[in-house]
Amino acid sequence: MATNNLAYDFDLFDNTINRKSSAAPKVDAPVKPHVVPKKPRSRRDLKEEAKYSRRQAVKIALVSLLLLVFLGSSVYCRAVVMDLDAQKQELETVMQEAESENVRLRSTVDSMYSIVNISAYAEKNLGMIKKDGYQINYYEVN
Amino acid sequence: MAGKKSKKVTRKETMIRSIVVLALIIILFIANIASLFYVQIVNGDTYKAYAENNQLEDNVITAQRGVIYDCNMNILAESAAVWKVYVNPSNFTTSQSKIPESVLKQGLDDVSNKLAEIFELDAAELKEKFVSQSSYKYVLVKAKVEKTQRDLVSDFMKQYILYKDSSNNDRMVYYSFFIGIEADTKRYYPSGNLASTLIGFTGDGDTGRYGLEYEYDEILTGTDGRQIYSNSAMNTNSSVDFETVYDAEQGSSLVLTIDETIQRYLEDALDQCYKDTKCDTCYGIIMDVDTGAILAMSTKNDYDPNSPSTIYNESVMAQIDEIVDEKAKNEAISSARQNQWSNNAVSDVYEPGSVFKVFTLAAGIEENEVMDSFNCTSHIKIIDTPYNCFKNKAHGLETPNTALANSCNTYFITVGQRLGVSSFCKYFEAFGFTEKTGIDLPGEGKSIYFDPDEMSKVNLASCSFGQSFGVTGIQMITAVNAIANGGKLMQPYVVSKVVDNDGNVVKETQPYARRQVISESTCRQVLDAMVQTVETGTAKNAYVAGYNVAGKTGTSDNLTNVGQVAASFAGIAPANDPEISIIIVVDNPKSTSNTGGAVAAPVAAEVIENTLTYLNVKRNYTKEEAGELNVDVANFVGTDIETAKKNARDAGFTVKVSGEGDTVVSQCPAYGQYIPQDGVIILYTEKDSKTVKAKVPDFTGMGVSAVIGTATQAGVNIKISGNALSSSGLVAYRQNIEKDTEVAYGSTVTVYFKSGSVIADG
Amino acid sequence: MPAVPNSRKNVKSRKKLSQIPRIVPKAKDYEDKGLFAKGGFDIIFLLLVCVLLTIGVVMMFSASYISAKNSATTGGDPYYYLKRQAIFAVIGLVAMLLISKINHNVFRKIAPIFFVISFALLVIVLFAPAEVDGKEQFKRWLEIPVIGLRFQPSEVAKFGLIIFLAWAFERYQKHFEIRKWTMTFIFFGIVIGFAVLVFAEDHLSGAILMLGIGLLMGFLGGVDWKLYALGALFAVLAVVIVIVYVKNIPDEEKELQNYMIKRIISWLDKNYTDTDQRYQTNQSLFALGSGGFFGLGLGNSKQKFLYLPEPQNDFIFAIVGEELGFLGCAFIVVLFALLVWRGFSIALKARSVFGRLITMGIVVQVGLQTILNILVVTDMMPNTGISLPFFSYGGSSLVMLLAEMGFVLSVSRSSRISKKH
Repeated sequence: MATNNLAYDFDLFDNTINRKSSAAPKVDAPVKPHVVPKKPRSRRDLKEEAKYSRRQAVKIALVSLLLLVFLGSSVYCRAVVMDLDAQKQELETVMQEAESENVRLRSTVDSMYSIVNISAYAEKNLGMIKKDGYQINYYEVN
Repeated sequence: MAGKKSKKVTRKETMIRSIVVLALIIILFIANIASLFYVQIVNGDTYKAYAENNQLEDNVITAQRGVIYDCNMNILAESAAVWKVYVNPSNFTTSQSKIPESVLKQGLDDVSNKLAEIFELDAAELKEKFVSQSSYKYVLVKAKVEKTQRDLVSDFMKQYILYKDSSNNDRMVYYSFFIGIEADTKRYYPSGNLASTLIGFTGDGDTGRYGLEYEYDEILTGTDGRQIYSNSAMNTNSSVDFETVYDAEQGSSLVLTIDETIQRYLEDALDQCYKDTKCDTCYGIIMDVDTGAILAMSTKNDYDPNSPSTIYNESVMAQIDEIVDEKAKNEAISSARQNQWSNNAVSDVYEPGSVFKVFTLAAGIEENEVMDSFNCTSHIKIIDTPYNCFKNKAHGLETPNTALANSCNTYFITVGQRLGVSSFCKYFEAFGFTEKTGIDLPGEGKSIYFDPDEMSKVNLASCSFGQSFGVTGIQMITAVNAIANGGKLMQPYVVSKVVDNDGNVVKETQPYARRQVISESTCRQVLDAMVQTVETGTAKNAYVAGYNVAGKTGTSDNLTNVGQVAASFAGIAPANDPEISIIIVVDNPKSTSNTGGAVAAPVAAEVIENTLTYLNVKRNYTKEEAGELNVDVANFVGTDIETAKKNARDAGFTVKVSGEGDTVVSQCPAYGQYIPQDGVIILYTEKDSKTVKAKVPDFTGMGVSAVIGTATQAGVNIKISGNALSSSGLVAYRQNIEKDTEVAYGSTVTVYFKSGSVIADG
Repeated sequence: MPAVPNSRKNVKSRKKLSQIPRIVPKAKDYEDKGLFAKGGFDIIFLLLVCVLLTIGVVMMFSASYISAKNSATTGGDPYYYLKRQAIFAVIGLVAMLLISKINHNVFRKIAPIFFVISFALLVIVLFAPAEVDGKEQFKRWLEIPVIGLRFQPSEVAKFGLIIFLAWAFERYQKHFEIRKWTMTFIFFGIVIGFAVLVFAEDHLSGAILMLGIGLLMGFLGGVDWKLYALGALFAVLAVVIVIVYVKNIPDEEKELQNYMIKRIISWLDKNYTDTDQRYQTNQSLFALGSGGFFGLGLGNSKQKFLYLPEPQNDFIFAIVGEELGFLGCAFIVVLFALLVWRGFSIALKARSVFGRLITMGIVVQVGLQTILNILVVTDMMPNTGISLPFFSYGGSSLVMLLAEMGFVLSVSRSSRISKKH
């Protein structure tokens, strides 16, 4: 192949043009089942070509791997962040519930330990009475 | 053969055919890009709107309602998240799903039974409700469900019914298909009905409906936040891309001037009074003298704000139950509710009666129009209207102090006439009786009074001893407080601080003296007269040993209902250095003696004693009082039983021994307790022995010595409270432990005494 | 090659098919000989494959993460699909490289065997389909006993058809010249036979794809173009008839139709609030629409949060569209187009008709599958269930696809296309 055109090998589309001499297009190639009857490539050429493509393949593999790792990890990070967010939300719900439960329990306890109940218990069951002011001695400390 | 040519053409044709196919594919790819462009760019916004409609959930972040604290930061009201449980009855019908009818029927039964079981409802009724409302998607089963019950419901929702569908595949339907749970809030009032009429309560959605909850609703509520986020289709927890969050501004908390303990003293005393006198309502306010802060305020009958709709007055409830007519019944229920919810101490307008004589006296002294010496004949005629003293009693020669102590009508009518309409009205207005006090509570009542321009001398005469006009309890205590603190009329308040969610003080109420009404020296004189009223006059029942109580009782006619009276007491203690002022009003009491001195004064005495003791105000006893005082108990634990017995007897105790041991292991009352002389003590000599019980006798109606004797016999100690210990004719009218209660042997029962003689306080 | 007007005159007398000589290409030089292919493969093609595969695996991971986490079949493992897809991708890549090393002349020998195997599998699957998710709804899967690997015979058959047609068009060139209509008839018989077998699996999309690949192979192989013009006309007519027919089904009978008709009904319906037949398509459109021009960013799809069912499968492109936007989508479509173009470039310079046709067949298959998939995702076509090459989750089909890429690379080694740049 003569052309190094990346986009397209335009020669393919025009078989009427003879590369060697455009002035004498009447000469046809011999009838063969092969579509592209070109002269065989030498072993050395083939080997070199294979070697070259192998090198390129390794490069492609590396680039792909790099791309995979980069893109994959960015998706992974998102996933982890979402996971953590979900956990956070879950824990927040649990916390909120616990807080509510705490309020409820404290309310119950508070009403149980209200000053009336305590004093009633102290007076009825423990035989205590409240101190009177006169039972307190006041000392001036100067 | 046209071999060469044919081959040439063949190659060309291969080329063309390849290009055709390639072109076709490329064109289709372009069609792909075009269709993507159409979907993503041209119609993108439409689809995006659909997507957002699906994904975005607009959640309200409920701002937590603020807490209400008393002055010592005890919680009086607090909100917490609870849940609502509802059922979607339409899902029990075959129209909503492809679930076979038999399965739906089973679901209906299971759901009704389970929910009935959890919420203690009637399963059949519940089922009937679901069936009758089967076109609805939301039927509330229970609001304000707490976590324990919610957990039961959500556990149930995770269960399912297994069945076979038409193609015989195993299918399941979860109970969550029928039941739903949503957020709700509940306000807890840990102290139950404590200060309920003052605090009020919240209704649906935690909005304040009454009392402080209503008055400070905006501050307490805060601002709800919003959270717009995309949710996952299955409502799993994996969603979370918050689009926009407007943070909730949590509600601020209130710190009240109310002291839970003082409030409790007031409520206990009022409760007793409410029971004893069978009055319509009774209410009381205790105010801090220097600042005008309300330390306690209560109205009976009241309610438990945890369940405000229940009617707590049993007799009212019984009456309502008897009403057959549905409409009348509902009206009765709603009026009964209004009744228990209203804060009469602030909203009720009552005729102050003799209590008002304090202000006539104050105005007279200030204007120098009081008579130092006055002869009361019990009769006085203003123009054509005759007035007389209570029970037509002639008080004879009086000073201003004795006139107040006697509650002499003629004296104060004379002072009023001497002051004249304009001067009287000036002081009437100055004491704040014509305007609202501006207390931070809703529904403050408006006083009723004469327009100075239209006020006649006769009107003046009745006004000068407190009749023919009406004021509110809060107005009265504010005015009384002005006398206590040297003439400054303070603006009363109940919220001392507004605290935000982080504990920062947002607003602090500063005591505000609205004006100087009278001079300090006048106050002093009025206070002296009030002290005399308590010590020797009509307000004897407000006497508290050691605390120099100043006060005035009043008994007045009900402004609207003829024949009903309002008994009241207004007081200040201690008079030598005022700390608190107090007012007790008992509306329409139905006991044998319904005067302020008989009904309201003892309540005040009890509250004053408890409050001042609690506030560590030092008592100053007179010599006679000290003689009646209690002794402290020595420590007998560890001593030999015989020695202990001897020592205890020597100390004047009646001794009881329990157990067979040699040494005392414990005793009741314990070491350091104060009990009256001639008290009882029990000494235990065996560890773990059963506590010996004593039955509390009924002391009511007994005199002091009889009470002591009965107590010793019964094995309890007594503490004497109320009235002057020295005064004769005291009768026990109340005890802190009810009769027939089993208490530990040696326990102390406080017995309240009041004067048994009829108190005339007109 | 047939269909050339002046060749007709030359073949006037009817010869028996068996009398016509078969064309069996002989190895001409060193390059054609031996088991292994010589020379280097086409780098651009490999690059395109690798880029598509990389993007595909990443997008498959992004799309499947949430659904995997919430699915019972994965046991709640969010990396379930990623792990399997990655393993199969590695297996596929190894297979691709190995196959690319084999001289494509060797494949010519196994083509008929492959055809027979494909045919047999298609028949077997009708009688012994594997259960998927405990259901036997679609007879699409076969399970290899012992190792328990599941695969779709139609995936194998697509390649079986390609390799067979490539082989046959080369071998029976003369037959097509001399007994044109007989051969054309046989050709259509085989293609339609395959399509019908796949259709019998309840796999309409597979059948359409099979038909499309077969017919295009025929066109490339030289079947009379006039038949195609006629066929295209009939196809358009058929589509119109179906649409008219479906549109006229009374509402009350719509429920009674089979699933294909229902899908067509729902496709014509364009009801964006439907939650039954159109649900997946609607969610797909919503996803694409949400993406807009630039997309929400990699990993940021919201529709994958259980809105779009099975986002890792046929509708993965919707998630791609949501995350990468129109720009990303167009880029990926261009990559696919480049792959097809490069395949054609390789094919046109291939050293044998077999090599040319097999390469074209493979890239046509990839191209058609992509086109149909995107048409479904964008609601331009009823939801038929065609997966997106390199993107959709599916172990056996990914391995198959990469193996096919290996065939193309193998052909490219002997192709005269320029490989140095």
